[in-house]
Amino acid sequence: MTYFMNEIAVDKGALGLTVQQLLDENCRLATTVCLDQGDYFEVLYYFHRDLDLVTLRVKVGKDEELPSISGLHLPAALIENEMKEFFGINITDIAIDFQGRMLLTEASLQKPMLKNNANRMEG
Amino acid sequence: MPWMMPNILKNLFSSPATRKYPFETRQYWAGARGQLQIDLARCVFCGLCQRICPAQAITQYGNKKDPDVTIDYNPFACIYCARCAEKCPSGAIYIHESHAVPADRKITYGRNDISLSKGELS
Amino acid sequence: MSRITFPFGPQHPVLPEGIQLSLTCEDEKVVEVRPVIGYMHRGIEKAAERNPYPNNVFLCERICGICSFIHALSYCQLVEELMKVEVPPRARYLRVVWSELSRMHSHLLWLGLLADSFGFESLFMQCWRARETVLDILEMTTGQRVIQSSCIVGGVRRDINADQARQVREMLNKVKTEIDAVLPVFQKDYTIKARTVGKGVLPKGQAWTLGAVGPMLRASGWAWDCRSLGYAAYGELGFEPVVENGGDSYARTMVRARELVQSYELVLRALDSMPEGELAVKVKGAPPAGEAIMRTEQPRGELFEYARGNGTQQLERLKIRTPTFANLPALLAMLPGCEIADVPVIVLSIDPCIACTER
Repeated sequence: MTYFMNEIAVDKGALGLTVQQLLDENCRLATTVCLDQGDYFEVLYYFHRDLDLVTLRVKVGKDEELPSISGLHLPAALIENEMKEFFGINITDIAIDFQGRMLLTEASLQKPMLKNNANRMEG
Repeated sequence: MPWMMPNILKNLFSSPATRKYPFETRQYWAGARGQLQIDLARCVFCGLCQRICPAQAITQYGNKKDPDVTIDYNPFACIYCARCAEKCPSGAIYIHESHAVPADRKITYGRNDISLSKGELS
Repeated sequence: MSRITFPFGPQHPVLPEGIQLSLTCEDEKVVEVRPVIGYMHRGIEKAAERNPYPNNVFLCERICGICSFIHALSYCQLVEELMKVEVPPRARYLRVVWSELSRMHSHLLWLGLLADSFGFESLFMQCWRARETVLDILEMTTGQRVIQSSCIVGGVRRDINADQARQVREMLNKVKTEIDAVLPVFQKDYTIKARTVGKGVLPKGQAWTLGAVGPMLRASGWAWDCRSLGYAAYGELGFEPVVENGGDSYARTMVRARELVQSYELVLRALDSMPEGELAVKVKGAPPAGEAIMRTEQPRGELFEYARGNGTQQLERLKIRTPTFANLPALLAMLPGCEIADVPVIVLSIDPCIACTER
């Protein structure tokens, strides 16, 4: 592809600051991707800088808290809810918190995207 | 409304856009993927179709050498991608252009067209 | 003044799919909106981790029935990028042809639905009749109307031969005549203007920061289209994004109307300049360990896909961010302050695809 990929590895504590810097440069969040890496989560934040992309790579332990960036950038709220629901990452202070009921219901398999979670989809 | 007038007048004097189905049916395009048929007389039971089917609609019962080996095809799981017909080494799978007509029960085909249906519509 | 909260959806005449907007109103004015989603969640991302990677093409196609070809295309391009596969030029042109035909039928469907949302039934039928011819072209060239299954990792499965190309041109000219008959209605009709001009205004700055994509963003004055990245054969076809400056529902209608004509031209240009050659290359092995990103332009906006391979036949992770997911925050920002009667038009003006959103 013809676009540039800038990748920045960020510490969990400095996430808010880096996001604010990117927003000041007129970037916006494209999406986030969460990866279950066994004993920790890897969260990738993709930002649009015009047609290019900027990536922030954050490592979060399974029982650690991740501060939400939806306070700085409201559109992040939906995708953060999704990550919280699908992976069970403890994201704190989401601007619009669905309490784990955005896409799933009480009857659904909880935290379905975790690696060791048995998939109930059969047939 | 005035900008719609030419269309309205044209539609008033032209033939209808719909057809009187089922008395008048549409011609199928050549190469359309309507129905799948497995010819068990030509099948060599290699099991390739079962392995590549993205919808797990084809199941082979038994080994190649077994006397009662057969293939079960479930049209209700089939997504009509025709990958099996494309890859079949013995050319035993055909895709027909016509679509299946509505039916009130599920039918599966086995060797010599013996119905292997496991019962009524469930 | 007392407030009343009532549900808009999940069953509503303008919504083909299930989404609920919980509207809090003061008199006839909407003051607060809360989305309730989750009616269509199918766990496709999880299912994709279990399938061998070639089978996911057929799974991804079923995320949405309207942009189905472009979902397959982006997945194929994603895996090709991960596996460093070079696609033959003819396949790239054929992919453009089918992408643009998909865009045409999606936009015609949307224009019809917009007319339907304020009760202009005859225009709705007119648009959908034109769409039927586009679907016929798709069936003729790929074998099926809506879920085409013609794109595979490494290329395409079907060719458009000279005879078919001639037929496609003839049928497209018929579609063009029908489009030319309906577009002036959308542009000039008094009722349509009364229902769309100034409704759901999204200013230029806000459109960007709220994450709007596709026709939403382009109607607010941004020349931002993923097709200008030049994936498939777009780089060779001289593509220019369509831009409008109004930022309201009318501007969004105009963007889609002009894109319809643009798609028609792109299909013809791709058919004219299509090189001869192979349709697909054989792809061997499994996706290696690594990451890849693919962004394509769907009828509704940017589709973002991320994949991570681990050397096996299965992908370790497939993430799909669909355009409506990105457009939802903008919708929630547009609704407060509007009248209840305008809610259907504004909701429709983002071209919501809920099956995409929830995957």
